[in-house]
Amino acid sequence: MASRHLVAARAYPRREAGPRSVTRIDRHSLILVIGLLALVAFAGVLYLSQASVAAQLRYRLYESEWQARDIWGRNFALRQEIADLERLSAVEERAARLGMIDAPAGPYIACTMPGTQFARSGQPAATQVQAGAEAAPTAGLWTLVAERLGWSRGAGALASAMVQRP
Amino acid sequence: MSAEFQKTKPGRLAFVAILFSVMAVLLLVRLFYWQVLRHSSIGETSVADELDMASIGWRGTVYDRNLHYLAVPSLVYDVGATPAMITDSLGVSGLLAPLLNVPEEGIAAKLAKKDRSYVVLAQGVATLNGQAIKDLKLLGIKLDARPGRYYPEGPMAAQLLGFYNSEQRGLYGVEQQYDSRLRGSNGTQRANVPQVLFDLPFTQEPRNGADVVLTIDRVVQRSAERCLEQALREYEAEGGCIIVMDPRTGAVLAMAILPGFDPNSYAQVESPAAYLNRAISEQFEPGSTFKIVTMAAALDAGAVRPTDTYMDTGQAVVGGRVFQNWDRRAYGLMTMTDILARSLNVGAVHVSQELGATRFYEAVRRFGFGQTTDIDLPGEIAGTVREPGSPNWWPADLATNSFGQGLAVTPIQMVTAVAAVANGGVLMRPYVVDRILEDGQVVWQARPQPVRRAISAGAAAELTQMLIDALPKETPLGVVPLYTAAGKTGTAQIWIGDKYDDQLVIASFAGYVPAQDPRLVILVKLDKPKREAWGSRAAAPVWRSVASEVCAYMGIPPDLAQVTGQ
Repeated sequence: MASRHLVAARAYPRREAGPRSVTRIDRHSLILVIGLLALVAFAGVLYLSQASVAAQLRYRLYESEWQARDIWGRNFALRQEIADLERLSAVEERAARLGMIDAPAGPYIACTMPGTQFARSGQPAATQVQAGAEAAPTAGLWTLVAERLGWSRGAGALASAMVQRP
Repeated sequence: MSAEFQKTKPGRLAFVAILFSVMAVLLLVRLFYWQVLRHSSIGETSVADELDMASIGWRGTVYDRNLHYLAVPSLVYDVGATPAMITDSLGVSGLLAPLLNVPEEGIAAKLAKKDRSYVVLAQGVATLNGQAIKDLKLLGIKLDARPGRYYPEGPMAAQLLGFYNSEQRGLYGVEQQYDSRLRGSNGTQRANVPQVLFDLPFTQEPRNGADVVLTIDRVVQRSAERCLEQALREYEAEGGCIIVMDPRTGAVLAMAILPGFDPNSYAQVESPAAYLNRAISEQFEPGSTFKIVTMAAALDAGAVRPTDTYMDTGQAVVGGRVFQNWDRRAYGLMTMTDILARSLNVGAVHVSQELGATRFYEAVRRFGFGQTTDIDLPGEIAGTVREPGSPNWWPADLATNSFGQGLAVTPIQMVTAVAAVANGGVLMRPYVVDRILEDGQVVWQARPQPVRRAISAGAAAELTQMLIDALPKETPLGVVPLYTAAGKTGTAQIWIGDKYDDQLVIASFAGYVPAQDPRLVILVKLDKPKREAWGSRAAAPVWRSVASEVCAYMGIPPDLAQVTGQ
């Protein structure tokens, strides 16, 4: 019996107790490693997801900045266009198209309202006359002229008027 | 290895594999989104300029007195290209050439250099053209924006305005004088690091420059420039200037100087001398217009009265020198008004001798000659007045100076002095900036600044009357229809180093209108007119044209009423 036992023991040597406990530790470590890997992977996904969102926001911001710059540029272009349209030569061109002419080119009528002095602000009527020129009419004289021309001096009506041809 | 471990291994590996696969797919999806779906928008932004507009303190606007634009802030673009990215070089060249004002062949040649990573196509392209190029969305074309300046009226009042150069500095004129007010300050940020995920807050907010409102009226300026341009053409003059001023305040309404330049393309001048404001930085011998000063000094000192007479023998001898009238004639018994009406040099010499050197030069000083007017523009010079006590002054100089030769003044000095007579004898400081605005609010307002009394009000009134009487006799071409005008012509010889030029002169006219209630003082100066050498014939008609147009435009009531119509 003993010999059979020895033979069997030689044929199937018993494993030592040590390796058995090591196997158990490895499994735990593996679970731990896998768990950690999963955690890292999850964190990685989270990070990448956040980074992706942040990048998207950044691009949106960048795009908005670009749009703002574009709007600034268009704003300046519009201001320049406004300045161009308000340019004196442009205004003159438009006025010419409307049939307007330069003021000095034609006769004009100078008028004063009743009760006001003729053609003078805060000063008595002109006293100096060019050589050969007719005496400057005062308000009274002008009233006389107006009356002779048949213009009434009713309320709101023109007290005087004249046609000048420079 | 235990049976239990061997049994679970494939499931765990599959889990890990799936996990990483999902991660990879997520990343690929995002990659596809940005690189494929959003490719075009990212491509566009990469072409766009990198200027951070929000952090820039923009330069202020310059307005005329009626708030019309004279200089506005703008964007200018530097345009470049990456030739390797452009496949259709000829097509791109054709599109860009009219917008860049560059020959198509030149652009095509630059785009053909495929080995170059970047080529500059044009610099300082105007805002509208830059926008048009951006709208083309051409791949491989890059625009870099930078702050610029646009002068909508072009060459109008160029020397007065100055210009804004590529180094973002105001040079000459108002742009230089008020550079510190016009210039804004850019915003600064907390740290100088690349912005990765967010914009850093400003530690100093950007501040735009102030707006400047000038006393200049662009319509008056245009009228003066048009009349001057016509005169230069008609009389074949080399140059000239016209200054229009309000004598009551010293506000300059127009300062026309020709030849000029276009501040939008300021680099395209033959010489930097074109930038100079010759109304304040160039001196000339005024000639007979200076007789206004001589007569004013004598009337103020009581040395002469308007009705005083003298015997004009055609010549006067002072300090060993003989002085003659412009036509070398003797006029006999003449009044003081006749001296102005006939522009008699001998008469002016007579007046200066009656007055004496001390009182004459004191008056010259009081009128502001030989010193700057302190106009708010850069580069003003003081002119040249030699006085008794100077090593190079001789007694004959008093006589010479009395009719405006042998001394040099600037146009702004001359017009300011005449304005003093028009203003009842009070000399005003000339100025061109009326107010400064920040965010639309007035932060500084110019106040008319009397400098001193040059002559008494009585003397000013007497002189005005003399000038009114003298003008039609001296030159009917200077008479303004419907208005009384006071003025004096001048025809000054030009000193050419060792003698006066025999042919070339400076023709001028200085006067004010309406004479009894002056609203405008106008100086016309024509340099070296070849077809007409006399101020009474060349400058006076120009003066009348400007005065007529400006009086009509400003609605100044006529003070000479003539019923001429039906």
